[in-house]
Amino acid sequence: MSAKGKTRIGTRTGLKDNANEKMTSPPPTEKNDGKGRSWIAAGVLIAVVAAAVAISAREFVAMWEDPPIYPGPGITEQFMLSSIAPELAGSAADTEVYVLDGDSPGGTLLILGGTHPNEPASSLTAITIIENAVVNEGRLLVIPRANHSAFTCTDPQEGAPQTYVIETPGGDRLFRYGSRATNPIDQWPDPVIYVGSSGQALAGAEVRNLNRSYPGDSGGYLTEKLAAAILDLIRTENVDLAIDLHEASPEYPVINAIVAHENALPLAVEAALFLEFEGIQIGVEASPINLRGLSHREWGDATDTLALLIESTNPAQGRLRGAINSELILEGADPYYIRAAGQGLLYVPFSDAGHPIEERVGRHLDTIAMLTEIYSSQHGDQPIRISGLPTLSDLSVRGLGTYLDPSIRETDHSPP
Amino acid sequence: MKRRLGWMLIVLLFVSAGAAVGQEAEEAAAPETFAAPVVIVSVGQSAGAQQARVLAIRAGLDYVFEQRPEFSILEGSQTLILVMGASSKGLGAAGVDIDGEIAWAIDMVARARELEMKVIAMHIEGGARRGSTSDQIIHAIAPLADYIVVKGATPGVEWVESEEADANADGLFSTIAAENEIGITYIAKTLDGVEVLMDLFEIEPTE
Repeated sequence: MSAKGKTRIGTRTGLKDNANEKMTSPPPTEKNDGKGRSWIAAGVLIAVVAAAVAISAREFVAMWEDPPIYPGPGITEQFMLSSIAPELAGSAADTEVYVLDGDSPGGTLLILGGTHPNEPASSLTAITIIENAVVNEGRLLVIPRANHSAFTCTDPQEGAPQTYVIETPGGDRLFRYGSRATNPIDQWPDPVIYVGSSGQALAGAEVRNLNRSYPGDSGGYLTEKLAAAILDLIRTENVDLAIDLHEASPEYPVINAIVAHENALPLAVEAALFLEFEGIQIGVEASPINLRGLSHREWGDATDTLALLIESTNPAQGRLRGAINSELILEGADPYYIRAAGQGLLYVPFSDAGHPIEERVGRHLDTIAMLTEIYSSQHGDQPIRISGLPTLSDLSVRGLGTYLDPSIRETDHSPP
Repeated sequence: MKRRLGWMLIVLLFVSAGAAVGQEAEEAAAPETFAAPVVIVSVGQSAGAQQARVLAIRAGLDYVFEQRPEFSILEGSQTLILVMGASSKGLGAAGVDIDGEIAWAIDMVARARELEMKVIAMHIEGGARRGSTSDQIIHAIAPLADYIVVKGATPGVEWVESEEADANADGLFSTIAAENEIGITYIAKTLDGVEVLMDLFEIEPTE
């Protein structure tokens, strides 16, 4: 059978045989051969892939850049945590510590934001303090990105954005939305079961969770080194009161709450009672003595500090939500949570109003203010008095962006 | 004359009967009172008992507080205050499950009764401390009390506090109090419990 005959058969039968089709191609010439076109196609493909890789790499590397923090009028000093824990130097876990010294001596308060960077009210509260607070009595230490490495990635398979934007009078300001855990490129692999420095046995992935890694180990995993460094900071700076800021999903029972080490329980209870008169319902939970590795347990056990953890409401980290986007992160409104609330599945009320970032940061700020006020009344010789902080009411009226406006930082408040 | 005396007797009878009824009504309306010293304990291991302790301090009450004490703590005291509210973290830390906790509390009440103590059941953490486990405690313990104090809405009165603060939104406490003929006081804010304790224990405010 001739080649032409095969071609006809192939055409009639719907080109079942590609070999037959190839035989219909015109004979190769020097100017127009099949190899030439293949090379062009391959070249285009390579260029497209290279461009995609370059764009992705740029996005990927951009996650390592820290959005700026603008030190406010109260900042008197700034240092890296590695200055007291050299083992962190040069690692992604090293992070900034901001210091606000009061005009007169008193107690020392540590605020930890960003333990879990997928809980944005935590780091935003710390940044609001850094950019607005003035300490009148005592000393304030603020770590806004406690797990710095976890700000450089997002949680796999969650579809979370890398950043979100808060409108300020001086323009849009970008913040990083991160992961609950240390970036795997900084600490890998995870063990199957993680037996922490506290002795608590946990799922392997918790090895990268800062709030399961206390009291830490300066020779252990990177996250354990970080935990040990924070505890060293508490010891070396003689921190009297230490507050770890968090958020929780609406279906989690420990929410809108203060979790307190037993040493700090009377302080937390009293603060909750008085916050109620300011319109803030906040529960109190005692830190379980048999749940190890958490800040409110290990800080209190290992040091004399009064250890507390505060939770607000963040639907973006829950399991019942829709897509995570900037709107959900900042406005905290979600139709699925409204349905869940109607079925009695949540531990907080949930309406169309959602739980906006102003409410969440405002609750944290008011709770910190109340805790320091009561602490100061109970420790007259070691007061901690802070001014300049917005309240929940201020934030509700003016918006968080008003207090995070880089353009008002005309005066250089960088620490000496 | 005899007729007049008869009328006077009838009037006298009515007056005395009326006075008797009035006295009875007054007794019924009189607030229940309790005596110190007081023992404050938790049922459910939430921080509510710690809050009650702060209320007791502010009320000037003679009290001892222990989250989950031995029964011997009751000896020498007049009133037992059980603060209801389940915390899974608290129960876990205490190493007990909810059934064990309820059984312990029932035995505690029984021992208090042997010692002729009165019992107050408090729930002061609001609606945020309601849920299946806390409700198990409430159903088991509140009916055993002589008096209930709850942070929640008074039936028929509009609740102006937040939804989270209302532990009586479904009328559970009102129903238990009515069915068991137990006195009950509703408070809007936890610190309002100071005044309630001062009333119940007849404590005069100090300057």
